[in-house]
Amino acid sequence: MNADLRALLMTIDWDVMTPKLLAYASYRIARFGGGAAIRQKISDYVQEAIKLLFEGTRRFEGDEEALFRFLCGVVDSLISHDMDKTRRRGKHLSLAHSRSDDAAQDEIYADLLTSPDDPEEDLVLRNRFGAFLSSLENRGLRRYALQRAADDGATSEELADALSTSVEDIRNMDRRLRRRRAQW
Amino acid sequence: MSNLEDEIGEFWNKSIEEIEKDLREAGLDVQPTLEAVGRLLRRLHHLGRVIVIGAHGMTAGSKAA
Repeated sequence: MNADLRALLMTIDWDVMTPKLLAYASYRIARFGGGAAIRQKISDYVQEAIKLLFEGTRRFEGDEEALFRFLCGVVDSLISHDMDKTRRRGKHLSLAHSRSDDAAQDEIYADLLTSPDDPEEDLVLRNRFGAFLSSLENRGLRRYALQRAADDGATSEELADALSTSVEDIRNMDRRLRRRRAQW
Repeated sequence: MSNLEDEIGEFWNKSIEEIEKDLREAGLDVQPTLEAVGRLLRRLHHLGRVIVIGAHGMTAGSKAA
């Protein structure tokens, strides 16, 4: 952290800055058309933006107003990232609803591979995920693992609905996947 | 200046009373976030990333003093 930023941060009244960021985040979520799940994370977006500033993950230079604008930009990008993820999840769930063939699964997989947030980090994760998938001999379990990854954050009920199976089946497959991951 | 920059400017220029009114209308309680930010800043302070502690009841400057 440079000396200018350090000096600026000494003057910030977070009791004023924080509510302003919260109000801005709420306004932007409404503008983006975010649902209840996104709204529940308003406080997290504000905290994460502040954390990123202090960690130096996002660099900043300027005065107090510039700092507010900067933090608003970070909040925006965090919300937008989650909104994209939610939209992808909705798309995958509806794809699984409409078709349960291999082509649908391939489409989901292709989408997973082409929508990285951080290409470099994702490449490692995708390679590991691909290797893990290949290690699953059971085709049903492999398809389920793919669906689970595509619908990160989906509840067991949502997955059961999308895959036309019971919640108990989903829980069983989750247990099997956890065992396989532990062995892998 | 873009629309978004104008919008951010409006939030920046609002008084704390106006902001609190906005938050009440949105059904948001600011207190838990203030407390969480306070905890975050204290944690960062311990990690040596912040030399002052701000939020929740006092400004960064007054706490440092």
